[in-house]
Amino acid sequence: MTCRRTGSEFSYREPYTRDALPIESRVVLTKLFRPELPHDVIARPRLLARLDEGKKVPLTLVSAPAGYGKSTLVSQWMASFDPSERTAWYSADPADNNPEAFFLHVVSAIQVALPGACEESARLASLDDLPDVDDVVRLFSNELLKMESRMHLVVDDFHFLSHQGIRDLLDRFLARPPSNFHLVLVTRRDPPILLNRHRRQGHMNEIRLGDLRFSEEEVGTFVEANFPVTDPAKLMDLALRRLDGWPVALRLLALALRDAEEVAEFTSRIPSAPALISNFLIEGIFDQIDDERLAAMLRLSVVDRFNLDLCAALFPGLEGQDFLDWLLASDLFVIPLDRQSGWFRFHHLFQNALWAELKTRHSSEEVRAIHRRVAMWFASQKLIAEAIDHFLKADDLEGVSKLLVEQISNLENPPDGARIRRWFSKVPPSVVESHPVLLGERCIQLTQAVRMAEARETADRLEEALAGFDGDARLGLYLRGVLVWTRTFDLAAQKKWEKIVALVEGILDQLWPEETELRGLLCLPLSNAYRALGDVALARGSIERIRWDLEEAGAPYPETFHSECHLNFHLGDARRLSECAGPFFDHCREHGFRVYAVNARLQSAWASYELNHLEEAAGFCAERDDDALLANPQDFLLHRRLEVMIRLARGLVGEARELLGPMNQFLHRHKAPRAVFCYESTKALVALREGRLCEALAWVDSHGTQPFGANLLDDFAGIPVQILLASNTAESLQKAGEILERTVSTAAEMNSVAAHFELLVLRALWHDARGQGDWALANLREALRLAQPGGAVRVFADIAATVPALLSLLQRLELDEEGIAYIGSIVRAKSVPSASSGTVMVVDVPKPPAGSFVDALSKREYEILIHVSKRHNNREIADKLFISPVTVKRHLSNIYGKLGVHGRKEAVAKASGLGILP
Amino acid sequence: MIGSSHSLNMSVPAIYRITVQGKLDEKLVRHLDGLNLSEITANGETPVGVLVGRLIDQAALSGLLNSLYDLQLPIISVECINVEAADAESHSVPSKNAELAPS
Repeated sequence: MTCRRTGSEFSYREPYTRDALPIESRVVLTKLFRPELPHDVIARPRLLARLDEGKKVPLTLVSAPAGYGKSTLVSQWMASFDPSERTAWYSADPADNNPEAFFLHVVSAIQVALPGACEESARLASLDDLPDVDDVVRLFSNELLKMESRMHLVVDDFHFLSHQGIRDLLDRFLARPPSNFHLVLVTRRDPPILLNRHRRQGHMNEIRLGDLRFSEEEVGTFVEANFPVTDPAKLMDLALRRLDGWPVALRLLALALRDAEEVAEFTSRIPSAPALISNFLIEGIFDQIDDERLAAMLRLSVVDRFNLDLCAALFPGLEGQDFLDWLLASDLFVIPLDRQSGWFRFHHLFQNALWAELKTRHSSEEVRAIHRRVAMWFASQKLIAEAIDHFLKADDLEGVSKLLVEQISNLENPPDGARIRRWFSKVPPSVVESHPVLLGERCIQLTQAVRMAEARETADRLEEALAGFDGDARLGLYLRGVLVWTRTFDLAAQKKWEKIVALVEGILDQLWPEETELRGLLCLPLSNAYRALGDVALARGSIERIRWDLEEAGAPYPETFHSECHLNFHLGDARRLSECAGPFFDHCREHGFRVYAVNARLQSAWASYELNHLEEAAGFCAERDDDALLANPQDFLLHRRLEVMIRLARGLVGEARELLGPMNQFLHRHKAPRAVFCYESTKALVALREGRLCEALAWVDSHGTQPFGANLLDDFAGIPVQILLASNTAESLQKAGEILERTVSTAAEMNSVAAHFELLVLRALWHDARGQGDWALANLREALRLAQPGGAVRVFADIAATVPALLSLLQRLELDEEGIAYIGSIVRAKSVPSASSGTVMVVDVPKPPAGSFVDALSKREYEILIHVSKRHNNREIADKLFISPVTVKRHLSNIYGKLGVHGRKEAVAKASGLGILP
Repeated sequence: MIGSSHSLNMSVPAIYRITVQGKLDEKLVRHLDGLNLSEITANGETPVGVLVGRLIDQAALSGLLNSLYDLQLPIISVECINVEAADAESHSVPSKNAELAPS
C-alpha cells in the first residue's frame, strides 16, 4: 500500500530518509515554468533597466493591481538573462498558502532551474511539518550558497500567500540572504514582510504601479501597432486619460475595437469609473465571439490551466485543436505555460470575467456539473490534487472519496505518504470517515504524528467500518494489520502484552507476503511484548522470523534491526547492542534510511558508553547527522543527553553544562513530556555533579517524582532517586523509598532489565543509608547478576560518582574471579584522573587512583598492600616504613578484613581485580 | 478629508490615518514598520489604535489593510490626510549614502 515507515515506538519521518520524490510527483510542474511571452509584447526598456539595477540586491518587489503586466515584464526580463545566471519561476496559488507548500514549491522551482541543487532542503520539504524556521532557513541558505552560479527566483502571484509562517520564513531568510541569491516577488499588493527595513538598508528594488502604467511613448507604440484607425490622437487621449495607461485595459480595448464598426460610438460608451472599464471591454469582446466558442471559454474559466485533451473532454462537439489555435491567434489573454506539454491558462483578470459570465448564464447545478466533468478528467490523467479540488467544488464528496480510495488502494504503484497527507489536508473529515481505506491511512498518519487520542478514535471507527467490509481480501487484511499496529501503542501503555502478542502474531500469519512494510512495522511491538513477558528467546526469534520474511520478499528490513537494538537496550545488554548497531547502520546506509541511520549511530554510541569505551562513544556522537536529526526530535535530545553523560564521565562538568543550552533551545519547539523530562533530568544531574544539590533537589520536588509511564521508565527513572540519595536526609530517603517502591516492581514486571538493575543498585544504597546492610547487599547482588552478562559498567560508575557509598558496598560482596574483574572494570570506569590527591606518599608507592576502594583503606594500609604486592615480607616492610613488624602484622589483619580475604596472595589478587593496585 | 491639492490616484504616495479596534501590541504589529502607532483609550472603553504613515501607493495600502485583517484588528476608519505629488521619490535601489533611519 502506501510507503511509510516508522522507526521508534512512535514515529520516524521516513520520507526524509530517501531521496526526495521526483519534482513532478510533488507539485504541479506547470507552476514552475516561466510563462511564455505574447508575440506582441511591448518592449519596455526603461523598466528592464530598472529591474537590472536590482539584480545585485536580495529582493525585488513588483507590486501593482491586476492587469499591469507585472508577470509579462518579469518574464521578459528573465528571458534576457545570460545562461550563466540561473532563473527559477514559481506561480503561487491559494492552495499553497502554508509554509510547507510554499517551501516545497520554492525548492522545487530551484531544482527545475538547477537539477540536483538543494537536495537536503527538498527532503526537509517533504516532511509533514517543517522543523523550526531558523533551522529551515539555515539549511536552505547554506545549500544556496553552495551553488556556483547566481540564482534568481521569481514568486509570481505572491498576494495569494498571506500565512504568517510564510512571512516568518521570508523575514528570517531575508535578514541574512545568501549573496548569490535574488528573490523577486510579484504581487497585487505589498506583502506583509519587513519591506521598510529592506528599503532603508538598500536591500530592495521596487517596481510599482506608477512605473508599470504605459508611458505616453509606450501607449503611442501600442496604439500604432494595434489600432488600425486614422485618428490615433483620440485613442491616445483615451488610453492615457481614461484608461490611465492601464496595460490590460489597452489590450482589452484593442480586442473590443477589432470588429467594432464605430470606434467613436464604442469608446463614448466606456464607463468613467475605472472599476467598470475592464468588465465593459470584456463584454464587448464577448459580443464578438460566436456562441459555441464563448460557451467553451466560459467552461474553461473553472480551471487554472487547460490543454487540448481537457478541451476535448469538456466540449466534445468542438474540434479541440482548432479551438486552441483560434484562442492563441485571437490574443484572448491565453498564456502558454509549457509549450512541450501544451498547457495554457487565461490571464487571471480575463478568467475572472469569464467565470462571472459563466455564473450569470448557468445555474449553480450546471456549474457544479462542469466541475465534476473537469474532476473526472483530471482524475483520469492522475492529476489527483486538481481532481480533488474540482470534486470539492462540485460538492461531490463521494467522488473525492472514491478517487482517494482508488489511489491509496493501488497496490502496484502506491502513492507516497507525503502526497496522501497533502490530499487529506484538502478534504473534510467526513470524506476520510467514509471508507475504511481512508480511515486506515488516517490511523497511520495520526500514529506517526503521535496524536494518540485521535489515532485511538480513528482506530475505533476503522474497526467498525471493517466489520462490514466486503472489498478486496488482501486490502481487508492490510487494513486489519494497520488497525492492529495502531492498537499496540495503547495496549503497550496498558501493559497488555499477551493481547499484543495474540493480535500481532494473528495478523502476521494472515498478511500477504508482499506487505513487507507492515510486517516491518509490527516487528517492534511484537518483540517488545515478548520481552515484557519475560520470553527473550521468543523476542529474538520473532525479530529473526520477520527479518527472514522481508529478506525473502526482497525488501529492506531496518525495522528488524531497530527492534533488535531496542531489545538489547532494554535488556541492558550493552555487548549485544554494540554488535547489532553496526550492521543496523550499514543496512540503513545501503538502503537510504537516513533517519534510521541516525538512530543506529545513537545505539552504537550508547552501547560504547555503557561499556565505558568513552572515546568510541564520543566518536559515534561526533558522526551525528544534524539535518536528519531535525526530522527526529526524540533522537536529537537523546543524542545531546549522551554527549552530556560522556563529558560527565570524563570529569568535564563545565563542558557538560554548556551542552545543556542546545537542548533547552530545542525544547522551545518540541514540548512533548518525554522531551521535557529528558532535558530537565539531565540538567538536574549536571547540577548534582557540580555540587549544586539544592538545584537538583528543586527539580525533584517539582517534577521528578511523577509516576513513570512505560516510556519514561527505561531512560530516566533512576535520576530523581540518585539525587535524593545524594541528599541523604530523612525526608529525601523517604521520597526515594516511595519512588523505588513504584518503579522497581514495574521494571521487573516489564522485564526492563536495564532499568531494573539500575533501580536495584539505587535500592541497595537506600537500604545502606538506612543501616540495612543485608538488604543492601542482597539488592546489589541481584543487580550485578542482571547487569554482568551484558557488560554494563557506566550505570554503576555514574551512580558511584554521586553516591560514593556504592564502592564500599561493592567491596563487601563475595565475588568469584569473574565478578572481581567486573567490579574492577566498574571501579576503573569510576576513576577520574585527579590533578592532586593531596596525599604525601613514600617515593616508591604510586598515588592511589582517586575515588576507588582506596577510600576504604587507610593511607598506611594502602602503602603496606603495595609492598605486599612487591613480595616484601613483614620485616622488609617494617624497615621501609619505619614501623615495627608487629604493627605491619596488625595492618595486614585490617586489610584482610576490609577486603574479605584470608592471606597475602588473596589480598593482592582481589586488590588487583578491584583496581586498587596498579 | 484629503489635505492636499494633489489628486489621489492608484499610484501616488499619500499619508493615511487608520484607526483599528484593539490594542496595538508592538510585537504584534512589527511588520507595520514605518508607521507611527498610538493608542486611545477612553475610560472603560475598548482601546482604539491609530496608525499614521506614508504609503507609497494603493498596493501598499491594500497590503497594509490585508495585514490588519490577518492580525484580526477590526478597521474603524481609513482616512487619506495628505496626497503627495505624483513624481515623488523613485523606488529604484537607493544609494548606500542615503540617510535613512535604522529599523
